[in-house]
Amino acid sequence: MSDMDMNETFDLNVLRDMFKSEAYELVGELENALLALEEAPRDKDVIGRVFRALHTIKGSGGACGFDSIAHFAHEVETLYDAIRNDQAAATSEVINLTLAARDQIVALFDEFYRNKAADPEVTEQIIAQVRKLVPAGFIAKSKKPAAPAPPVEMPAPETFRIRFRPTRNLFLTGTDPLNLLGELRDLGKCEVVAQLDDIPALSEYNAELCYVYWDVILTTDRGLDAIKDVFIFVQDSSEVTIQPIDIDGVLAGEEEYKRLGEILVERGDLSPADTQITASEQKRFGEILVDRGVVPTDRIESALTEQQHVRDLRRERQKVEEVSSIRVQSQKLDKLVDLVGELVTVQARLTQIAASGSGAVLLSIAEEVERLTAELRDNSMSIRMVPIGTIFNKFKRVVRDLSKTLGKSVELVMEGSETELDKTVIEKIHDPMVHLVRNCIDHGIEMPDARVAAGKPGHGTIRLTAEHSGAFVLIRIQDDGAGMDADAIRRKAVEKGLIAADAQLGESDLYSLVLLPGFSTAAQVTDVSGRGVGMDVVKQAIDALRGTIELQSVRGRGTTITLALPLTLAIIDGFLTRIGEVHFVIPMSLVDECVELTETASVSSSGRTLLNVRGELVPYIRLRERFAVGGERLAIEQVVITRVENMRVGFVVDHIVGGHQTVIKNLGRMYRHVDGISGATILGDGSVALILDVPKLVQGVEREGARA
Amino acid sequence: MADIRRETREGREVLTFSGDVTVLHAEAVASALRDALSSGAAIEIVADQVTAADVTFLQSICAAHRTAASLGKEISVRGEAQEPLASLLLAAGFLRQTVGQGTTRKSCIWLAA
Repeated sequence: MSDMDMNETFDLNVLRDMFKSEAYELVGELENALLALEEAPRDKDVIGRVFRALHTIKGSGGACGFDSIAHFAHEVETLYDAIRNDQAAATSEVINLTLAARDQIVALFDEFYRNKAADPEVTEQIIAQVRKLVPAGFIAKSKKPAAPAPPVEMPAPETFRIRFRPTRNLFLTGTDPLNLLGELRDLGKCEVVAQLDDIPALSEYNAELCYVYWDVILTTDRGLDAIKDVFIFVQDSSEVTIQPIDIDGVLAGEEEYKRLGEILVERGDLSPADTQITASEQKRFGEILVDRGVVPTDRIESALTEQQHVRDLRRERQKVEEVSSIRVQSQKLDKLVDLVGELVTVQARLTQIAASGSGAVLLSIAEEVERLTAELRDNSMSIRMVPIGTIFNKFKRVVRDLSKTLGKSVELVMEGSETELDKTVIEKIHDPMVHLVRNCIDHGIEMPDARVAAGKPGHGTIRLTAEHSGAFVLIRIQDDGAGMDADAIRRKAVEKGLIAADAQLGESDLYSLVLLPGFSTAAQVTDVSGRGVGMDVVKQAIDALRGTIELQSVRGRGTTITLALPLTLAIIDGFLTRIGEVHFVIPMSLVDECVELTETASVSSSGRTLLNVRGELVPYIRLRERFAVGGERLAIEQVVITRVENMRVGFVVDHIVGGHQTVIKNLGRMYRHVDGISGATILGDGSVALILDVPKLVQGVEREGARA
Repeated sequence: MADIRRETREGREVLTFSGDVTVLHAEAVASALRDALSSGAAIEIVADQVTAADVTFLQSICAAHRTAASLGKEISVRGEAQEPLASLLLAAGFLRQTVGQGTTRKSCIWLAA
């Protein structure tokens, strides 16, 4: 291999590595756009979204040397070129085929990035099907992928309002107005509204005359002359008026675009005096004009189309501005957060030394460093925050495909998609959530006839919601299906020896049994779920994120699963305590209150130690004994009372130090499995504090309680 | 080649157009619409077998709609969501998308779904 070849291979590989995350984002956007298209198959914006996604996959893929992907995307893009030019329609067959094409593009990317072989026959089959759907004779305006051309300075696009009133004899001259409208569409973003008010009743109608005239809104970078050229052969016999509408940058402005009345007056469709007609609560201005016969409906349609066109232009421009961001490898972000964590630790040390009487100047510097460090910490943490909508959107496809497979009708409703969560948390909850959503469809939502028989609508609903709650994000997966069968769960749990036959369990505790390993009440094992694996894995994954999972269900009404997940895994607000010389950190979000432990408040019951807090008996754990810390108990000890899943448990320590910004460090391999400790942090004096795994410790107390 | 059939079904005049309904057959289309409107109280236009159409076909249906409204007769179109009519309606700008159903239900026959 020559040096030049080696350089080219190297460059291509570097490019491909850089393109990896963008590639999967692009196919994600393609999938989202297709699912939106399924709901609005005539929506030009959505058709444009699909086209753009395919076009970008083709262009960027080609530039990175993925020639087969670029070629494949080009074939599908041609079909969407026809659709956006009104030469074909986005039928369900087209959308299903494009979703299959999207999956094949993922497979082709996986072939390179994940070493999974893709089936080339699938590519060929899809191309053959796509070609059948492209109208015969359609010539794509988008070119086949080729070497990128040098950038050309394009003139800024302008927007024009065109009224084309052809001669009545237009058809007799052999001119098809559709050809003229098609030529206008070729110039740019274009909306056409036919004006039909001149069409008479059949008694006065001559079928060979043209009674229709057209209003067109066109945004083009080809200039006024290009528009005039379209009408060159009919301009003598027809009336063509062309008005630029973005004079003085009105379209680039932030303020509301022209009102309906203004547009109608500018077009000569309404007298200025008639703009004084006021709209009422019941009727809009346009409706009143139509009802009073002041302006024909079609002119209102045309003016409203102009408003919509401008809104769309502004939205597209906004999108371009939104993407003016930079892409950074996530490892670099992780490194940044690590460094900020180190800085927080050093800053704590500085503050500690400065506070121990080192002079006013050092103290003031330390305070300044503390303030800046806090800002830097918040800033770098915010960079890692990603809206949860990024994974919510992926469930649209899961719901669509699985409900089709099972013959169920399921609607997915999403709320709070903008709620942000740490990138790592988002990545780790994807698989557990897929399992939960699949479970809802497979076990929760009933077949349509069963639902109707139960007095419910035939289609089921799965609601995904996310909201902030303190240092946690609550994610709810709610279905309106059959609900969980508490009796069946109890029977199964007794059968498997998980609970005693006469065990008294609340509903919530009973439902939580399904989270235990090997538990499944499904009578039939399906491909989807019901193999007795999964829910325990979900629980483990949520536990690993220091989150909690809670199940609520009403028989016949549905099930709600609530996941409470920490906002971040890197730095938490901690509550620092001390026993002898050993420090422990308790996550602040779990701390309810602190009380002193006195002999009189402490009681013992069936081997458990309980504390009387204003009449409530709260179990407590002596951390000195639990972690075998040497030294004598103090006469007055402190109890930090925590709350986990509605259970209050106290932790007895010698001293309470106070709030502490805790940079979480993983424990080494040797200590990773120490029960009751989830990590460690470094204190200002360089010593190590252990972070308590409060839910695990509480579970231990619960088990003791159950045994008692 | 255009094929136009008329039959009476459950009190409605059903007018089925198939084949090419372009400017070459514009007069035949208009004439069939006139005849149907002069006899039936309700007209149903079936266009799902149309293979090619142009603006003359659409404006003839608009003229029929206007006539039916003045005579107090009902008129409806079936097959407008199928090709080639669906694409023609979009390309010729006949499909009403923006003005709400409340305003134009009676004034236009081409409302987007």
